[in-house]
Amino acid sequence: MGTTLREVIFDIGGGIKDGKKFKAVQIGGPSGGCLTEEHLDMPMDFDSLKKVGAMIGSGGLVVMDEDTCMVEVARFFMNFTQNESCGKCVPCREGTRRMLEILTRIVNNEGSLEDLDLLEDLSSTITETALCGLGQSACKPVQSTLKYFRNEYLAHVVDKHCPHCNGRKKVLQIDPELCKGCGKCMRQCPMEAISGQIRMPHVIDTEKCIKCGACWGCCPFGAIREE
Amino acid sequence: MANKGIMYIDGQRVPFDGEPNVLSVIRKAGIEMPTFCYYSDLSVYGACRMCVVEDERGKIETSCSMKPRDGLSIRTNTARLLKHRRMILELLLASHNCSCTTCEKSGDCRLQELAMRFGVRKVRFGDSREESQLDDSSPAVVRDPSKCILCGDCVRMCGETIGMDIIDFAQRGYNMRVSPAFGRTLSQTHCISCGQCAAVCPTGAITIYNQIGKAWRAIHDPKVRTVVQIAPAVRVAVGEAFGLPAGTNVLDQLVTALKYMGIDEIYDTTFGADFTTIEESEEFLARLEAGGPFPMFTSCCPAWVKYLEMENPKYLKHISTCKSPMEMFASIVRKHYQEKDAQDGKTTFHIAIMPCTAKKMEAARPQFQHEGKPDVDLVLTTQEIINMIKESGIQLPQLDLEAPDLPFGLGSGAGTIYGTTGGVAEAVVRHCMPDKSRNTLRALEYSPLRGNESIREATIPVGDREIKLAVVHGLNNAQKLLKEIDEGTAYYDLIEVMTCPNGCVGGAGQPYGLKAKKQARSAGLYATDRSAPFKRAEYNPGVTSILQKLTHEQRHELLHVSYQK
Repeated sequence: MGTTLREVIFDIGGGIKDGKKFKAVQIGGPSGGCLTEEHLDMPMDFDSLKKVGAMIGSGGLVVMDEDTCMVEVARFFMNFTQNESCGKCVPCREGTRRMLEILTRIVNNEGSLEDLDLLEDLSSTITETALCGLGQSACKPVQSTLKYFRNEYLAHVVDKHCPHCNGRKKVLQIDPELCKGCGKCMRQCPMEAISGQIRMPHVIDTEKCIKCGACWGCCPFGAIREE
Repeated sequence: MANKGIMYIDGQRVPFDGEPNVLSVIRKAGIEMPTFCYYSDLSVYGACRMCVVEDERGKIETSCSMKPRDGLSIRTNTARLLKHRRMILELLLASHNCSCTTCEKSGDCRLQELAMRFGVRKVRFGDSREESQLDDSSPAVVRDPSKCILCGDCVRMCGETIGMDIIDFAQRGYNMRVSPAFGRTLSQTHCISCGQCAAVCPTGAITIYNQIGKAWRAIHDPKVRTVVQIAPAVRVAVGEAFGLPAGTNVLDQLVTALKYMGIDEIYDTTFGADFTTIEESEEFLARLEAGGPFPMFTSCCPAWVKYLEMENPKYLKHISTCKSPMEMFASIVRKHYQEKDAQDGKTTFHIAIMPCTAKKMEAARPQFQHEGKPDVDLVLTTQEIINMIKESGIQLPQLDLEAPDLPFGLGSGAGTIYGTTGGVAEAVVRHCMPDKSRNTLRALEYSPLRGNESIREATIPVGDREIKLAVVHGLNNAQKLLKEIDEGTAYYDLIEVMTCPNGCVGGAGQPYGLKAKKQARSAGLYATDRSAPFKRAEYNPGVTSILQKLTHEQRHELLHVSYQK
């Protein structure tokens, strides 16, 4: 308690890998808020985090470097909370699903400026009227990124080009010539997006794939390609 | 001690005394709080989040799940609250099958009403509904999951009040659905067709199986003689749809309306009820002589009979062998028109206007078919007949009065109170009690046979014996009673069971109404009984003359039935 974020990230954690620049830290688990450089010297305690729209929550920190697209981060966490929604109350059941729809649209450069307003409206309704803590905090990543990284949303919506994630919009595929059908990637895939029979070339379901790269890292034959 | 105090609602000083939640206090203050999932007769669920209120510190909470506190100050209509309500409605509409103009529930749908009230004119989200299957397998209700808003009213009604738990939530998150177990259709479950799920559904997701078209076809067919019987509970509810207060007896206007619509013969089910009273009383007295089996259960409620068949068949031999008033009446009518049909070459089409959806199921039972033709060809609910009257453009309150036709149009006061909880038991007691003076009738008025408690007991002297009676409404209460009987902690001679809360006046076919409305309808029936020319079944000249002419075998064939396999 009271340690600054800078101490945790740079002194204890050893700073950013490969000498890259620090961009943001998401604190408190999937429904925590994203904080920026300016908050690094803030002491970590309940009250000061609450003031800037984040929370201690589980205490977990996700540190992001300059290559990360913050809209994609918001979409990723919204996907998590939407999956966790039990479905009882309307704002969480229907709202998180619509949030995810809009965020996915924006990440795919298909969003509009109205979508940003809609995200803000939805966030406030879900936060203030949801039945339990999950719904009440589900929109924190969206609200905080909209606040601190609005320009990245605008890059997606107005410029239709995001310098961070457009390179990653590529699709992962398995080269059938190189794949030996060992099944390693299938076991590694967190989304169960890979299917195939042993000793036969495997296939990635691009609908399910979240492009995490787990298969790419584990393939002993270099058969995973980005296209 | 009741929770008492003063609350401030939008600055208005409102005292409260024992109200279960802030929402009821707000309603008492004259503010119609919007809600989908709060239904005062069921438990609090808190899922729709429409009834949110803001306290002094700006904290937003749902009023249905908030306990009233002395000094509590809340606002019900701040800009934030209105914005949230509109957003919730928009979210609901986005996932709802908005085919409003052709929806069964159009005009009576709470989602439609609230969307209109809050001015939601545009839905900013795309339609991403997954396809769902319409379930029209039940004889009583139709389930259309595409219109479900998951408020859970039906789930709680089926579980808490009826005690059947036929439908429940399946899956979670955005995939959550209300469905019978394992995605079965209603006909594959033990659903007893009581229809209470449809009665509380705020949208068109569960509606009564509509048979208006079949009725019109029969009415407009010149070769068909349409014969109608009107159940007691219908006459005190139809008026509600035409702006009359609940409990107003509009039987005579209803008869005129039906005549205008082209129905040939209009009779009164209370005539059938008088048969039931006499037959059931005699069966009861015979059981008293023979020594059992006790308790004897009434058999008027088809959903109750179905429940025993499905879930508790060991009690089937306890149930009275009498047909329900509707089916007794139908047997008499069938016999009466057999010769006439042969003479004038017409076929008789029997329509029963009932407050009940389970009667649709009862009419289709094999026990009530003769030569492949059901005794009652069609059961229309109160709601359906209201729709037909409205379709015909008839202004019911302005009509002249006309009495039901003879010979089957006159029933006793005892027959009229069949429509409310305790009525069947009271009718039987009136018949069984040897003392026929007016004072005994008056004493019965203040006995526990009347009232609103869910389980009522009474001890009535019959001859040299005291008989123990119980009156139950709400099937879950009947289940409780059966459990006590199973355990040997309770003993009764006669038990009247009605599946729906408050008896037939609270039937699922009736217009939407809460407890107060149902009680007003009961009061209307008791008022009709007070002004009835005769108050006991055996004083009905039409009934006694028919009974005299019937042989013992005929009587058994026409008026009794066996549900045992």
